Amino acid sequence: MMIADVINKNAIQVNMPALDKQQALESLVNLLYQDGAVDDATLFIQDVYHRESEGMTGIGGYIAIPHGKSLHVNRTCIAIGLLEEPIEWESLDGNKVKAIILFAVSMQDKNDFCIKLMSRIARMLGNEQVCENLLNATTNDELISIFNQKVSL
Amino acid sequence: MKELEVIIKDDEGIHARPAALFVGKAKSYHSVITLEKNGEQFNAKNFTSVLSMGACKNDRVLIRAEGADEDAAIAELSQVLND
Repeated sequence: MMIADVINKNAIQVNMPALDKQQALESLVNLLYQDGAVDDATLFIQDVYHRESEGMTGIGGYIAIPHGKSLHVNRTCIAIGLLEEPIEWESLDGNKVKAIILFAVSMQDKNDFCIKLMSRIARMLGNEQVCENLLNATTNDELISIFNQKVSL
Repeated sequence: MKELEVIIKDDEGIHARPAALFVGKAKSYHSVITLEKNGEQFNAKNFTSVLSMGACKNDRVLIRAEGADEDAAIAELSQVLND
Protein backbone atom coordinates (compact mmCIF):
# COMPACT_ATOMS: atom_id res chain seq x y z
CA MET A 1 0.00 0.00 0.00
CA MET A 2 1.30 3.46 -0.80
CA ILE A 3 1.17 6.50 1.46
CA ALA A 4 -0.91 8.16 -1.23
CA ASP A 5 -3.66 5.58 -0.59
CA VAL A 6 -3.79 6.42 3.10
CA ILE A 7 -3.94 10.17 2.67
CA ASN A 8 -7.58 11.17 2.69
CA LYS A 9 -7.99 13.40 -0.34
CA ASN A 10 -11.18 14.84 1.10
CA ALA A 11 -9.41 15.85 4.29
CA ILE A 12 -6.77 18.19 2.95
CA GLN A 13 -6.84 21.89 3.54
CA VAL A 14 -4.29 24.47 2.48
CA ASN A 15 -4.71 28.00 3.86
CA MET A 16 -6.52 26.94 7.02
CA PRO A 17 -7.70 30.08 8.80
CA ALA A 18 -7.58 28.36 12.22
CA LEU A 19 -6.10 30.50 14.97
CA ASP A 20 -5.28 27.78 17.49
CA LYS A 21 -4.87 24.03 17.94
CA GLN A 22 -8.53 23.51 18.82
CA GLN A 23 -9.80 25.23 15.69
CA ALA A 24 -7.25 23.47 13.50
CA LEU A 25 -8.07 20.01 14.82
CA GLU A 26 -11.80 20.64 14.64
CA SER A 27 -11.46 21.77 11.06
CA LEU A 28 -9.57 18.66 9.97
CA VAL A 29 -11.70 16.27 12.01
CA ASN A 30 -14.80 17.79 10.48
CA LEU A 31 -13.48 16.94 7.02
CA LEU A 32 -12.82 13.37 8.15
CA TYR A 33 -16.30 13.14 9.57
CA GLN A 34 -17.93 14.46 6.40
CA ASP A 35 -15.93 11.95 4.44
CA GLY A 36 -17.16 9.11 6.67
CA ALA A 37 -13.67 8.14 7.82
CA VAL A 38 -14.68 9.11 11.35
CA ASP A 39 -18.12 8.32 12.74
CA ASP A 40 -18.16 10.76 15.67
CA ALA A 41 -16.17 13.96 15.40
CA THR A 42 -16.52 14.95 19.06
CA LEU A 43 -15.45 11.61 20.45
CA PHE A 44 -12.61 11.26 17.96
CA ILE A 45 -11.26 14.70 18.87
CA GLN A 46 -11.30 13.60 22.51
CA ASP A 47 -9.07 10.67 21.57
CA VAL A 48 -6.72 13.04 19.74
CA TYR A 49 -6.58 15.32 22.79
CA HIS A 50 -5.97 12.33 25.03
CA ARG A 51 -2.87 11.61 22.99
CA GLU A 52 -1.88 15.29 23.11
CA SER A 53 -1.94 15.10 26.89
CA GLU A 54 0.55 12.22 26.82
CA GLY A 55 3.28 14.09 25.01
CA MET A 56 3.97 16.74 22.45
CA THR A 57 3.25 16.06 18.80
CA GLY A 58 5.07 19.05 17.39
CA ILE A 59 8.15 17.42 15.90
CA GLY A 60 9.93 20.65 15.09
CA GLY A 61 10.36 22.51 11.85
CA TYR A 62 6.80 23.89 12.07
CA ILE A 63 5.23 20.45 11.65
CA ALA A 64 2.95 18.53 14.00
CA ILE A 65 1.77 14.92 13.84
CA PRO A 66 -1.27 14.65 16.13
CA HIS A 67 -2.97 11.29 16.08
CA GLY A 68 -5.93 9.45 17.51
CA LYS A 69 -6.27 5.70 17.81
CA SER A 70 -9.99 5.47 18.17
CA LEU A 71 -13.09 3.31 18.09
CA HIS A 72 -14.60 6.10 16.07
CA VAL A 73 -12.31 5.74 13.10
CA ASN A 74 -13.93 3.70 10.35
CA ARG A 75 -10.84 3.55 8.21
CA THR A 76 -7.29 4.59 8.96
CA CYS A 77 -6.28 7.67 7.05
CA ILE A 78 -4.34 10.92 7.20
CA ALA A 79 -5.66 14.47 7.06
CA ILE A 80 -3.30 17.31 6.24
CA GLY A 81 -3.73 20.98 6.99
CA LEU A 82 -1.54 23.97 6.19
CA LEU A 83 -2.25 27.03 8.28
CA GLU A 84 -2.38 30.56 6.91
CA GLU A 85 -0.62 31.71 10.05
CA PRO A 86 1.52 29.52 12.32
CA ILE A 87 -0.19 28.59 15.58
CA GLU A 88 0.96 27.73 19.06
CA TRP A 89 1.63 24.03 19.52
CA GLU A 90 3.77 22.08 21.97
CA SER A 91 6.84 21.21 19.93
CA LEU A 92 10.31 19.76 20.37
CA ASP A 93 12.04 22.91 19.14
CA GLY A 94 9.66 25.40 20.76
CA ASN A 95 8.50 26.74 17.41
CA LYS A 96 4.93 27.27 16.28
CA VAL A 97 3.29 24.93 13.80
CA LYS A 98 2.28 25.57 10.24
CA ALA A 99 1.64 22.05 8.89
CA ILE A 100 -0.52 19.49 10.63
CA ILE A 101 -0.50 15.84 9.65
CA LEU A 102 -3.37 14.26 11.56
CA PHE A 103 -3.48 10.46 11.74
CA ALA A 104 -6.89 8.88 12.27
CA VAL A 105 -6.19 5.26 13.22
CA SER A 106 -8.76 2.52 13.64
CA MET A 107 -8.41 0.10 16.54
CA GLN A 108 -7.45 -2.77 14.25
CA ASP A 109 -4.57 -0.72 12.86
CA LYS A 110 -3.31 0.72 16.13
CA ASN A 111 -0.28 -1.54 16.40
CA ASP A 112 1.95 -2.58 13.50
CA PHE A 113 0.17 -0.70 10.71
CA CYS A 114 0.17 2.57 12.64
CA ILE A 115 3.89 2.23 13.37
CA LYS A 116 4.70 1.53 9.74
CA LEU A 117 2.57 4.45 8.62
CA MET A 118 4.23 6.82 11.08
CA SER A 119 7.66 5.58 10.17
CA ARG A 120 7.07 6.18 6.44
CA ILE A 121 5.84 9.70 7.10
CA ALA A 122 8.74 10.29 9.50
CA ARG A 123 11.18 9.16 6.82
CA MET A 124 9.78 11.68 4.38
CA LEU A 125 9.84 14.41 7.00
CA GLY A 126 13.49 13.62 7.69
CA ASN A 127 14.17 15.05 4.24
CA GLU A 128 14.53 18.83 4.38
CA GLN A 129 13.30 19.30 0.83
CA VAL A 130 10.10 17.41 1.57
CA CYS A 131 9.47 19.58 4.61
CA GLU A 132 10.13 22.74 2.63
CA ASN A 133 7.77 21.62 -0.12
CA LEU A 134 5.15 20.74 2.46
CA LEU A 135 5.31 24.11 4.21
CA ASN A 136 5.19 25.99 0.91
CA ALA A 137 2.43 24.02 -0.84
CA THR A 138 -0.36 26.20 -2.17
CA THR A 139 -2.82 23.67 -3.56
CA ASN A 140 -4.33 20.39 -2.38
CA ASP A 141 -2.86 18.56 -5.37
CA GLU A 142 0.58 19.88 -4.56
CA LEU A 143 0.26 18.59 -0.99
CA ILE A 144 -0.84 15.16 -2.16
CA SER A 145 1.97 14.89 -4.69
CA ILE A 146 4.59 15.55 -2.02
CA PHE A 147 3.58 12.33 -0.33
CA ASN A 148 3.06 10.48 -3.55
CA GLN A 149 6.54 9.10 -3.44
CA LYS A 150 7.67 5.55 -3.89
CA VAL A 151 7.82 4.68 -0.23
CA SER A 152 5.51 1.73 0.01
CA LEU A 153 4.13 0.22 3.16
CA MET B 1 31.97 1.08 22.06
CA LYS B 2 29.15 -0.97 23.53
CA GLU B 3 26.13 -2.50 21.91
CA LEU B 4 23.15 -4.46 23.03
CA GLU B 5 20.28 -6.03 21.17
CA VAL B 6 16.78 -5.67 22.54
CA ILE B 7 13.52 -7.21 21.42
CA ILE B 8 10.61 -4.82 21.39
CA LYS B 9 7.86 -5.98 23.70
CA ASP B 10 5.26 -3.25 23.46
CA ASP B 11 2.24 -4.16 21.31
CA GLU B 12 2.32 -0.68 19.86
CA GLY B 13 6.03 -0.82 19.10
CA ILE B 14 8.15 2.31 19.37
CA HIS B 15 5.40 4.75 18.59
CA ALA B 16 5.64 8.49 19.04
CA ARG B 17 5.44 8.61 22.82
CA PRO B 18 8.19 6.11 23.66
CA ALA B 19 10.25 7.49 20.77
CA ALA B 20 10.12 10.95 22.35
CA LEU B 21 11.00 9.53 25.77
CA PHE B 22 13.88 7.54 24.29
CA VAL B 23 15.31 10.51 22.38
CA GLY B 24 15.07 12.73 25.47
CA LYS B 25 17.09 10.24 27.49
CA ALA B 26 19.59 9.57 24.67
CA LYS B 27 20.31 13.29 24.44
CA SER B 28 21.30 13.36 28.10
CA TYR B 29 24.38 11.26 27.30
CA HIS B 30 27.59 12.51 25.73
CA SER B 31 28.15 9.27 23.80
CA VAL B 32 27.29 8.96 20.13
CA ILE B 33 24.29 6.67 20.15
CA THR B 34 22.72 4.88 17.22
CA LEU B 35 19.99 2.36 16.73
CA GLU B 36 20.10 -0.35 14.12
CA LYS B 37 17.24 -2.38 12.71
CA ASN B 38 17.61 -4.78 9.79
CA GLY B 39 21.03 -3.35 9.03
CA GLU B 40 19.80 0.21 8.81
CA GLN B 41 21.09 2.85 11.22
CA PHE B 42 19.17 5.61 12.95
CA ASN B 43 20.26 8.54 15.07
CA ALA B 44 19.06 7.91 18.63
CA LYS B 45 19.16 11.62 19.40
CA ASN B 46 16.85 12.62 16.56
CA PHE B 47 13.11 12.11 17.03
CA THR B 48 12.23 11.88 13.35
CA SER B 49 15.02 9.37 12.82
CA VAL B 50 13.90 7.13 15.68
CA LEU B 51 10.29 7.30 14.55
CA SER B 52 11.25 6.43 10.99
CA MET B 53 12.81 3.18 12.25
CA GLY B 54 9.29 1.86 12.64
CA ALA B 55 10.09 -0.75 15.30
CA CYS B 56 7.12 -3.04 15.95
CA LYS B 57 6.57 -5.67 18.61
CA ASN B 58 9.07 -8.54 18.35
CA ASP B 59 11.48 -6.54 16.20
CA ARG B 60 15.15 -6.80 17.15
CA VAL B 61 16.86 -3.48 17.62
CA LEU B 62 20.57 -2.94 18.29
CA ILE B 63 21.56 -0.04 20.51
CA ARG B 64 25.12 1.16 19.99
CA ALA B 65 26.86 3.73 22.16
CA GLU B 66 30.35 5.11 21.94
CA GLY B 67 31.81 7.52 24.47
CA ALA B 68 32.76 7.98 28.09
CA ASP B 69 29.26 7.22 29.34
CA GLU B 70 28.49 4.39 26.92
CA ASP B 71 27.84 1.82 29.65
CA ALA B 72 25.29 3.94 31.44
CA ALA B 73 23.72 4.92 28.13
CA ILE B 74 23.27 1.30 27.02
CA ALA B 75 21.92 0.30 30.43
CA GLU B 76 19.31 3.02 30.62
CA LEU B 77 18.28 3.08 26.97
CA SER B 78 17.86 -0.69 26.74
CA GLN B 79 15.59 -0.41 29.77
CA VAL B 80 13.49 2.22 28.03
CA LEU B 81 13.07 0.02 24.96
CA ASN B 82 12.30 -3.03 27.07
CA ASP B 83 9.38 -1.43 28.86
